[in-house]
Amino acid sequence: MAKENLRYRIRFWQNAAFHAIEELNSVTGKHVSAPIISMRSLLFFLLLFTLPLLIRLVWALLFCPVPYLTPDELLYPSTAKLYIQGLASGNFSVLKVNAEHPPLSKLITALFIFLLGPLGFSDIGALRVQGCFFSSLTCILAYLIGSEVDRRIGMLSWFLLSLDPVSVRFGIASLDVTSLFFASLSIYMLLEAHPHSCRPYLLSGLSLGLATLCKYSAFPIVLIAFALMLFREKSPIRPATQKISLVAASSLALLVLGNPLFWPPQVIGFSGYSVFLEASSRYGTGPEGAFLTPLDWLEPALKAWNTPHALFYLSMFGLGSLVYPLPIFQSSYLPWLFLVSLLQSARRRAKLEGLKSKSLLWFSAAFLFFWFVAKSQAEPYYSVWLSPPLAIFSANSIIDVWRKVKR
Amino acid sequence: MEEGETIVSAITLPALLLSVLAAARLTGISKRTASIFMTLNATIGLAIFSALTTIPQLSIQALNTLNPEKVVVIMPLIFTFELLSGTYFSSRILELDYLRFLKLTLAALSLTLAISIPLCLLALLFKP
Repeated sequence: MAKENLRYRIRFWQNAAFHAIEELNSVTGKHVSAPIISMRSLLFFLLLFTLPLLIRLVWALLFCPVPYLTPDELLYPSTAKLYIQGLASGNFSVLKVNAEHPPLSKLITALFIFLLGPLGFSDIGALRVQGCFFSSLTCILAYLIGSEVDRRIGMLSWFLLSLDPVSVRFGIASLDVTSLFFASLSIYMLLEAHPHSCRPYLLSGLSLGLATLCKYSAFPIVLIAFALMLFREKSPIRPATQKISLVAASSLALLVLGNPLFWPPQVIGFSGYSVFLEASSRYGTGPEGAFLTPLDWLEPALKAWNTPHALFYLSMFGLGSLVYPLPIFQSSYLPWLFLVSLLQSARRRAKLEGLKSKSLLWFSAAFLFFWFVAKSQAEPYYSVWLSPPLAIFSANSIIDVWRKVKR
Repeated sequence: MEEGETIVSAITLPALLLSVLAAARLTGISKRTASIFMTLNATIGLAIFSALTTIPQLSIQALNTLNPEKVVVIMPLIFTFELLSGTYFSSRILELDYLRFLKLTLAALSLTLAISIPLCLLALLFKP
């Protein structure tokens, strides 16, 4: 028990480089001195990072039109600089600008502008480098998550995600990509977590807090995915509730601490929460203002029951709820691989368990979230949220099939 | 977000969750299995139809350009397709009995309608 505990602690606290040392040892079967292995693993991770980064940078800086994601690419760099100027002088009212999104990703953008500006990068260029940087880090996380089961699954997950057209094309969606990195890190920590220790859940919650500080969508996606994974594992209700609460509480605490809009009005000089609500309501679509889900098209349909408009509202409800709002199958090979793997599993009645089951539930949480709350015109770059679980699930299925063929 | 405009979602979502749990109890299926099954059912049904939207005649653009009457007519067809395919494949993946879980799905949806329609009508009637 004590040995297992120690092993777990080492496993959890070790950084990515140390993780690679273990893998290299197991692959080579040789005992190589730690400094050599550290250097090798460092090079290995550098390669895992550099390849997707290069692909993304070539697209973002050479081929992608400027601006591409409007108005975001025009808005975020200027907002980032405004935030830094305001916060440096203690003026929190700058946070009223673009208040519908939390500030962390924009502060990171300011850092990238500060670092890359002197090197000749434009503001949009720096914003794009930020997106490419975090998108490439997410590829490494896909490798680490896949490697939990088999190193080949990790490598294939990394490969599929690195070349995924959606992740490359929308690697410049800075808010989503930065948030996705922290959300994936949170999921990675949850998958690594020892069931009898609180610390990994706390750390996962903090990582989820960082993700939520970049984009609010991360919070429901990760929590729903985690709850589904615990359901599937058939964990007892009480410990499962405690784990979910711990993750939720720590992430919410970090969100409140990190976003001055949620601080008391006495501190910031205005009601940040009202500003946030007002800014969020601009996202409303529909005839009378704000609509949360496609179901809300039913309200005007019921109100206008005896008029020709009722049919229109009903059709909006029908299309909104039955047709997935993101054209994922048109933009990448990953959904096709996923669907074929899924249908193949159904045909063979292959038992769905372990990482395969967890990545499927992670995908389901993100997929259903965007189906349910996407506005009538969902932005295509939301699809980046679906790519890591799709890559991991597909890689797992491909390796399973390969193993069977080999036998 | 103005609260009055999200009233249908605010009623239907909890009604759906409660209905899944109630239907699970009625059909003797564990609540966890029912929740996972319903999640996968919706995911797979939507994903399969989403794959079909790559066919030009069924593309999102083509569906959006249909007149509302046609959309209302094809809605039940799409819904039935998604429901049956989602139920079939998710029951196969989870190694469950297809018909038993189809019953669960239909019971959960019927219960959701039975709970949410009167509540929505009442809420809209008394809405200022």
